[in-house]
Amino acid sequence: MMSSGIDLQTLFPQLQTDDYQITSAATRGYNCHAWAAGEDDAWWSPVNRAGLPIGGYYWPRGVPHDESLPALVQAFRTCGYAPCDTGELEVGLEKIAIYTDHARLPTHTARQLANGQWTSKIGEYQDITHDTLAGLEGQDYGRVACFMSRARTDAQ
Amino acid sequence: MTPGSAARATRAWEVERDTWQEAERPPLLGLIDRVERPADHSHTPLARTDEDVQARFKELADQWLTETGHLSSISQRVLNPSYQQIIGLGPQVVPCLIESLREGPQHWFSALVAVVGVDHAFGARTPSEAASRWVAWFDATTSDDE
Repeated sequence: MMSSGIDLQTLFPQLQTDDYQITSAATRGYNCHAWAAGEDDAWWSPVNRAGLPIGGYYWPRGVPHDESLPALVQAFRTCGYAPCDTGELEVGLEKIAIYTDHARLPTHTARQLANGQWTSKIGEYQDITHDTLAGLEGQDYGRVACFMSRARTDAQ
Repeated sequence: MTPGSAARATRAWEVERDTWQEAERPPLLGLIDRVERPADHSHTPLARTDEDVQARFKELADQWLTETGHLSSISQRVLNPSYQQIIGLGPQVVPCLIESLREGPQHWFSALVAVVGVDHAFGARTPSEAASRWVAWFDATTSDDE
């Protein structure tokens, strides 16, 4: 595990009014998209060299290697997620929220817990739980652009 | 050479590199392709010692982490100016990148591919696995040289 001296409230000012909690140590082992898919052993990225993935990163087979929102949605479809209308808590459904920037490129994905809170992996820093999706909205992560859901299989 | 003149020379080289890339690269390649052509540093008007490169690398790496550590997109992080300048340090920066990887996985894989020209961790699924492969490649290469 690596240490992190970063101040999340400086990076994400709207967390100041969100009852967020740090729930893991910082690690470069996985990122937010992997965490949203339920994985903690891969860094999801479409980064590539002449169409071939760069070693160290995971991207679902058959999904275009580009940074677009449709490509990320397709990537999450491989894990059973399908687009849905809202991030409202629904019994039996596990939801994710995809944030995009001003160019509509994905920046972050948060996953809803069974209690209605959201869990997010912050880049190569820690996991947090946060009450609202707005807590991470702002200059860097932009705004939530789409929701997806799948049947919940865990007891979280 | 003073730090100021070194910085000016580095910036001049970066402008030249960018111009060259824009002129010769096909327009539809991905973002990473734009920075992955193995750099030809034979014309770089800058003689740097390994110590210079180590110090510059540390400075740039710290700045890059501060500016992008909270981001998930590798493409976005690679396009950060500090990361681009690390790539611009050329082959002399490879030992610095490898030493960093010995301490744990860090996202130097795109930089290594860009500078070395080959992905020696191709197929690695995790950052840890890729870091191990790059370190193994470097150790094998340097032991061959001895």
